Amino acid sequence: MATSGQSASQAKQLQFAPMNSALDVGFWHRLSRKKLEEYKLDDSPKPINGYYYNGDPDGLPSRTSLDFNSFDEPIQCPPHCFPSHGTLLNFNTMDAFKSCDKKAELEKIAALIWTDITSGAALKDPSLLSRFLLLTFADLKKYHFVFWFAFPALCSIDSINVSKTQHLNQCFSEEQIQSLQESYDAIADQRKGLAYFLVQKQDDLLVVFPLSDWDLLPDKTQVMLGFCDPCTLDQYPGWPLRNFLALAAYHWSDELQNVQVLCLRDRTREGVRTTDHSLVLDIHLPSMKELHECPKCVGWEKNQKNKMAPRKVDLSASMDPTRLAESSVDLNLKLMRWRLLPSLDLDKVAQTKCLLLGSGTLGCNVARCLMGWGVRTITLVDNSTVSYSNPVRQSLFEFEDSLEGGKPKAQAAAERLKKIFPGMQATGLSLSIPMPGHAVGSSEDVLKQTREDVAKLEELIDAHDVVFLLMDTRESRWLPTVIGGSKRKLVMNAALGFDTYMVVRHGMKPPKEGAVHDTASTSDDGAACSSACDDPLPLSPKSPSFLCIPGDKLGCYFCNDVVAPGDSTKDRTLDQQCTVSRPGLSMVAAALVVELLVSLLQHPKGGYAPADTSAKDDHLTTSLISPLGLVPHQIRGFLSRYHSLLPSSMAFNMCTACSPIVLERYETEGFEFLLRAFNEPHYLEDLTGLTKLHADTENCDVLDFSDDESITSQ
Amino acid sequence: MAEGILSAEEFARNILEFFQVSDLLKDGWELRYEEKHAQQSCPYLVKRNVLRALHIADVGDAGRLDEHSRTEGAGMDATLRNMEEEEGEGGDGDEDVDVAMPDGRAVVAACRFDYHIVYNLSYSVPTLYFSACHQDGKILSLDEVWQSVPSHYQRRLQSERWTFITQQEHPILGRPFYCLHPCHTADLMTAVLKATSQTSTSHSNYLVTWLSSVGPVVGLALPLEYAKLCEKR
Repeated sequence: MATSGQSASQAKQLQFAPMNSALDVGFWHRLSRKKLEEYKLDDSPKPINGYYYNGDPDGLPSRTSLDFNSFDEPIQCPPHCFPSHGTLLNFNTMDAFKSCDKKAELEKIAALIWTDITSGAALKDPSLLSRFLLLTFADLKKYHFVFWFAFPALCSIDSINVSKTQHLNQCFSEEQIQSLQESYDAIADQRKGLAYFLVQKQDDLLVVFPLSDWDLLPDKTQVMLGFCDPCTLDQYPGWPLRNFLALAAYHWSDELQNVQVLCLRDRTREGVRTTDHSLVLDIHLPSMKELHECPKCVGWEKNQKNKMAPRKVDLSASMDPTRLAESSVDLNLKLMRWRLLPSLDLDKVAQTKCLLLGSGTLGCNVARCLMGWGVRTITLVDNSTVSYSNPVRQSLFEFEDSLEGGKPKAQAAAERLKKIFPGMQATGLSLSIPMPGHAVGSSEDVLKQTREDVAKLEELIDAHDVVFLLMDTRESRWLPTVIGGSKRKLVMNAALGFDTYMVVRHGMKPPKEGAVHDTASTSDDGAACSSACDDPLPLSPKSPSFLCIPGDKLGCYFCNDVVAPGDSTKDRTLDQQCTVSRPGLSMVAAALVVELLVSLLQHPKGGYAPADTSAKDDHLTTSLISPLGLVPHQIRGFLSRYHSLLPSSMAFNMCTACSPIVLERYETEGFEFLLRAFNEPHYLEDLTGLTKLHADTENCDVLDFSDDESITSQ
Repeated sequence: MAEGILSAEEFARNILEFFQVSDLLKDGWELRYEEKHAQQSCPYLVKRNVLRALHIADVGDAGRLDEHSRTEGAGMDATLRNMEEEEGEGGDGDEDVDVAMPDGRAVVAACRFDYHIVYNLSYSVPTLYFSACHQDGKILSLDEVWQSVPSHYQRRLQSERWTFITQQEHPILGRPFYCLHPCHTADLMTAVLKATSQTSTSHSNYLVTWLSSVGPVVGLALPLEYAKLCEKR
């Protein structure tokens, strides 16, 4: 028989492939639960179990597996696997783990094995030969686990020599192998697994016997030792053989000085079973019959760095509820991308830092919707506290928040965001936004406070990518409009009437000179529109250029106004001051302003995207550049008719908030300019030329009137 | 019955047949029953401990360990390093040799996959749940799972989207598992059954047809012997 290079004729020392550990995450789940609910501070040894398998494909390491069921009694091995009896030592502290006498613990297990061998218990239940020791320390706050396995193996006193290593099909005929399989199956089925056994040739066929049948066998010198071998190496047997040889050397060394060992490897591939690759070893077994004390024991598992030290695993990603919430939120959004919108850039949305000015109905709903899109950084600003009427409409508050004078709104909303989703980086700030036409006064303290408030707002706008204007007054939107425009931030505005809403993205001024020029930005890209839109002058709604305005020529919230923001809260009754609107309106407007932002973020030109409009029903036919669809300038909705329009309007060159002169004064004079705007009622109108415009218009009116006199009667 | 779906009753029959074949083949499937609702328990199939040697660009445990010692500098990591330096505490000098791989090779890194086949009532189709762990029990990240998909399936997964991998709570065990989302299963099965000119009712084992189509994506191959269940009787 050809024996290939593997069967060396001269004897050499028998070596074994060490056992490895393989853990399923379910094991750690179960251990955590046991520690919390059952063991608590009890660190006494606990019985657990594992199993190994002798049917793995070539090249895989032999290993003892532990999983969720490892704590169950009786042992629940998967089919065709073999049990291993474990001892768990779960320590309460890392120090206890470190200082435990590991040698002594291993020797305790070795002593168990030795006792089972000498008492004969292992002859009746040979699975007692497979044991392991597991030391653990579980940090259940961080879901970090430190662990160290040992697979105790009793050492022979003298070295065991192997004179020949062959494959099963090199030693035996097909018929003999067939008989071996059938005989093994018959006994294994009765016993629910049989990891160690005896084999003897009878009538030229191979017959399997349990260890307890030793005394019944004739001619014991012809007995083969058989074990199920988890090792897949071509030359070496696996670890379980070691304790089996110790048993044989103790009980049967007289008969089995030179013995054949069958390393049974039993694999089913594509429905075809084979054991041909099993090894047959011819070995010389030194006797241990005279040994009266437990032999030396080895078996600590090395760590990943191949050192004799414990391993550590961080399972926070799969066990920490906070981390789990984060990954499932991400996954939910990814599903949208995979299934519907492959070009969606979710990271861009997630990384967008949003500043929400106003934490009322709009602020709460906008924050919730942003959170749904995976935005993680939200800063809320408000200057009031939660009142009893708020929680029913303002979706981040509860009744408790309105007790004892009410919590500050912005902070309460930010706290709630983090409760809803711990992955949020939410901050709340109490801050009053200075308003034009609301005189600041001249006392040192007030002036200092206003200066600080402006500085804080500038700092906040600097630190975010998007500013949402969600306040309940018009004039409080003025200062952030100026600052946001100057700093070239995306400014998103939502405003409510009783049953009408307006959502607008402010036009993005062209990049400042000297600033890094974004390639996909300026208005010459307007060529992408269906009509020429370079000429900013024609403002007539009939002009074709009205249909398509590039992003840097779009207006802001104030552009359509011909009066400067003044004190709109003055001379109003209570119900007018608290903007009273249909309750669903805020949800609609908040949802739209967030969706508009996300569409804009997905547009290749971002804030410079030209506006899509509903004029001439263009919105029904225009090609979509953002994967999410249209990016209108404004959305105006009328709830009474469930109707919405997508108008767009040019930036007004006399706008009190975004005209060149206002931005220039703000950028050159800074706070002094702002202070005049706050204090002097007509300053902004004078500055921008609105005053003159009003005067001119009045003249026009008169002229018009006289001209049209003849036809006004219709 | 609508096309491409399977009733709970048929599912139960399918998996019993499947389980019997597995037993004959020593294919390692276990039949389990949901414990809580013993009255109307639906059986499910489990195959544990399937080891796959994966060439995943793994960060490696060593890498992970370092990463954390940097970010946290916790006492646990310091103690671990300390123990590594005092290496050999577990045994004496010869042990290092004794527990080494006999041929001196490094142990192959392998991942453990467990597969669960559970009935999904909403979609009326079977669903394949699986867990995938490194040897220390750390779950493979979704990216690592994607890397584990054979390259020829990756293209199919991307382009046809007949199924895709996601992470969900196991409906019976309540722990996070990966799964092949069931929302395209009925479509897939309609197409497959049509191609083989069968219908779900005349077809004698839906489960085998389905599992042999989707299983290989996540390393679960079915021996051909199961196909016998699909032959018309």
